[in-house]
Amino acid sequence: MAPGIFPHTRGVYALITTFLFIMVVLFSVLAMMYMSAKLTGMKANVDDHLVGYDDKIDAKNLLLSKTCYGSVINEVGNAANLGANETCDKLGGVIKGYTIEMLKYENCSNVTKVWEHRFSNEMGDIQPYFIPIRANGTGRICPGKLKVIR
Amino acid sequence: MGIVENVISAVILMLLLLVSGLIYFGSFAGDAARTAGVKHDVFFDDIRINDLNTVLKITEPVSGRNMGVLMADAVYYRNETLEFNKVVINVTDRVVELMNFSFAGNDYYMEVRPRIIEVSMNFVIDGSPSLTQEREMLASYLPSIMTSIEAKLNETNEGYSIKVSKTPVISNIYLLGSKPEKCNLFNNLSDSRVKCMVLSASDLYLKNTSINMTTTFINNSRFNLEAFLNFYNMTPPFGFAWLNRDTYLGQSDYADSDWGYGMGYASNFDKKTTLSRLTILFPMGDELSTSSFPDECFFYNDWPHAATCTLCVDNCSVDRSWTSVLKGLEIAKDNNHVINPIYSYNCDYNYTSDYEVAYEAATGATPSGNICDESDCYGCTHSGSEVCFQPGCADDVLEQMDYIANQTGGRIIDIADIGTMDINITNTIIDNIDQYSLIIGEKETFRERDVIETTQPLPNGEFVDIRLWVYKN
Repeated sequence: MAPGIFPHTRGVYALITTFLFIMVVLFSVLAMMYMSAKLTGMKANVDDHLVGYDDKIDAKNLLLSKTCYGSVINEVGNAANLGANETCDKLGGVIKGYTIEMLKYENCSNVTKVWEHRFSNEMGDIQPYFIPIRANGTGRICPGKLKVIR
Repeated sequence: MGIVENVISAVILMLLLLVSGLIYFGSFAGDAARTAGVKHDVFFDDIRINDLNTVLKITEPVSGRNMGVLMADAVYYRNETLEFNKVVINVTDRVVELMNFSFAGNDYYMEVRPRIIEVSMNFVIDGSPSLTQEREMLASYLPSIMTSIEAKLNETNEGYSIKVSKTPVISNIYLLGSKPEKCNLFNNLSDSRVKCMVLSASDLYLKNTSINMTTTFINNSRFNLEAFLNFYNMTPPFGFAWLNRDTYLGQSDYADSDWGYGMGYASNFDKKTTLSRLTILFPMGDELSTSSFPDECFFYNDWPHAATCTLCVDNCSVDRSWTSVLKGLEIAKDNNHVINPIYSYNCDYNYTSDYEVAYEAATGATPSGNICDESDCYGCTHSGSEVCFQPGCADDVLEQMDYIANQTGGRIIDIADIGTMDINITNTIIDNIDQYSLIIGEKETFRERDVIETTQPLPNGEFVDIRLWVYKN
């Protein structure tokens, strides 16, 4: 279709190509916005999960530090209700609580003893750590478990 | 054509935008995944380190010691069973119990392995003629044995960044007796890794009665013989008074076979006690330490000739030899050395007609043939022209060698078949090297795993590496 034969059709072509160009740009922008939102959401989930790791490590380190119980946690005291029965309320982040278990072990305990400290009724994901517990009286270091609840 | 060009250019533009967008977000997502992976690994490393450190702190119920100390002791003393208040505990079993508590659901592999970078082999060889063949065979095999041990060290230390010794394997040969020419066998090897010296009675025993027992034995790098002999009260078997008497047999008759004291001398001479250096003592003998000559043959008796006395009287000098062997063991244990005794009793004494002359002189009777066939000779048997000297003592020799091997984490090498001496010695040393470690679980290098390393102090103040692999399920 040679130009000049149907000069009135030129405006229609220009209109179509312009429209197509705008559609392409618009589609591209929308596609990128969609992908961006999706990936940002995924990253937020990942970040949240990663922060969760940090929270658990921090909580464990705090509970096994001098600020709370020390590198060895004392068995709960029967009389004065001391030791592991005390709540360490300085945990940060989104930690919902923790439990300390003294496991059954020769010359340590015949039953599993549990001390639970909760800051919320919700149950989060739990990551247990194997920890040393100093038994009452004997001073023996017995095996225990620390469960940080997030 | 204009429409087509415009549409195509728009499509190309769109593709460009999408591809660039994908690349950007792809790298964004990749970074996020990598970060997540690293955090995940750090998190589980933290758990594994924490759990392992806790295992090391737990008090073992019987001994009252913590597991870390027990593991270090087991490695240092090369014995996984330790005794406390007459109760024996198996350290490996105790560790496994706690590890299963801690790493329930995960397979793991743990090794407590000191890096051995040097092996010192110390052969203390009975100087009597009956061991001539054994000495010759040892000299011919020694270079290949040392090469095999070097290969073993390279294999076990592969992948570790350690300072490698220029001469990782050395051999010291101590020939009991006073004839330096016997060292020619070893000196002729012209191998700088092999050194030979003779040990005479003057090297092994205190020389007079004025023993200064208060002498403090100082661990000087320079070997102080007198201080050493004083410190360990190295008195000769029959005491000092005996030395001044006119007797049947001389001092060399027990000194040339005193592989017990000789072992003590060799241990003290090479007393570098670092855990990276494995020092092994190889006392080699075919008779009791201080000889299998009965005590009474050292003094005048009814046998007016020493040769007939030693062949015909069968009282094993067990007590005398135990004194010597236990002294050597004490010194070896003080230096944390391993003892692999080489038992070489194989009835190869040469029978000579001198024995018959001596027998006739002693009894007035002419022996019908081999004097070991005589009814009043109990101290020997024979097979053709080869005599078994004091066969009744063979079990005692084995018992003593077995005892000192068990006490130091070594084992007896029986060279009844002398042709396999090199294999027997090499395999024993390789066992010694492997035995130096505490290993729990299977090492599966192809499995994905968390790797944890920590250290534990040893009784001598050095540190040993603890390596833990927790396999990912």
